[in-house]
Amino acid sequence: MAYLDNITDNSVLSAGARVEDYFALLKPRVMSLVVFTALVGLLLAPGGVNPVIAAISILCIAVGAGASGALNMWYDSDIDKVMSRTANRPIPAGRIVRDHALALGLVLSAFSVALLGLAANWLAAGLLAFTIFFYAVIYTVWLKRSTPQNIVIGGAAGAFPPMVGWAAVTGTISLESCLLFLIIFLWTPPHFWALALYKQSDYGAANIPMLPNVAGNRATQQQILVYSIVLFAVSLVPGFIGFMGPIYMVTALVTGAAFLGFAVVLFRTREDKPMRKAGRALFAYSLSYLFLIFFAFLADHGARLMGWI
Amino acid sequence: MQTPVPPNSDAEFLARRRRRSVALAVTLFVLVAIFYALSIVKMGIR
Repeated sequence: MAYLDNITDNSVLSAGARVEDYFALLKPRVMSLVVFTALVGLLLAPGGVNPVIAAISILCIAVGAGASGALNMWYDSDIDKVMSRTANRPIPAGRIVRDHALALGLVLSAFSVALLGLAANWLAAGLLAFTIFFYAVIYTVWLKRSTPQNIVIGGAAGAFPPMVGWAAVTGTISLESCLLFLIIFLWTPPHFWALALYKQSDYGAANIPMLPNVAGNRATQQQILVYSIVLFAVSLVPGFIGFMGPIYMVTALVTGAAFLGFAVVLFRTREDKPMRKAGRALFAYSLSYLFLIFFAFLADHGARLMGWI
Repeated sequence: MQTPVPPNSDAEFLARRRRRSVALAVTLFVLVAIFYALSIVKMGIR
């Protein structure tokens, strides 16, 4: 484990660290997806909420997600250093010392949870605290390095934000918010396994037991296809139970069929190079898929409110 | 003031991280417990 050699600990200050480096600790790209899905949960929730409270709630969820990111980077700095995708993160690149990330993560966790509790309600705050706990401890510390099912279970952490947004308005957990959770939860495995297929050597070098490294490419392709089929079916449920209307259903059908198409193409490839290419294509499309389907939730809801459908 | 000594081995690094992970887990768990207790109390009052 010579890669630990260059990792500084709390012996020096983060000399030369810029604000951007601390901001990068919060994983802004992940944060943007979290903010968007949480906003959808918040806007779909019945009852309405004061815009200031809504803005504070979204800020708290964003900061809470950022705190999880900082805690993840604190713990994973050793493996981040050996993976090309993560080697330039602030800690492995030597721009920030590890303990600063830990302190930042803890302070922001407490701040975001407490503020959400005071501004919205204790249930939303409890859910946010659980989300941070789940991502930082259950996923990062425990599951990530111990089981190929790491991102299946850990995916729950990324699926909670719309439930938190919903709970911030209603103070409850409902079937509808559980469906929002389920869509992200089922989306996560094909998304990350597609990434793992074309970044296999990275994960192998870092000794992370991702499914392709442990069970092989074929098993991963099969699992991706199975999850894609289940995701497609579950994404239609909001329409079947009357939670969503035609705008959502058409979008879910079209984007879900395309998702399934990418998964089938990946499933049918055997050669290494085309498989990586298909994995990369599915990974890229899956990001658009999640955005489109959550945007469809908003569009359908908005059209109903305006009386257009 | 004593300058903290950087870890000089993998074992030391891992042991230190393990101790801090436990502390982190306990801290976050307490945070979760506090807010769930508060939400339960609030629901009970209703």
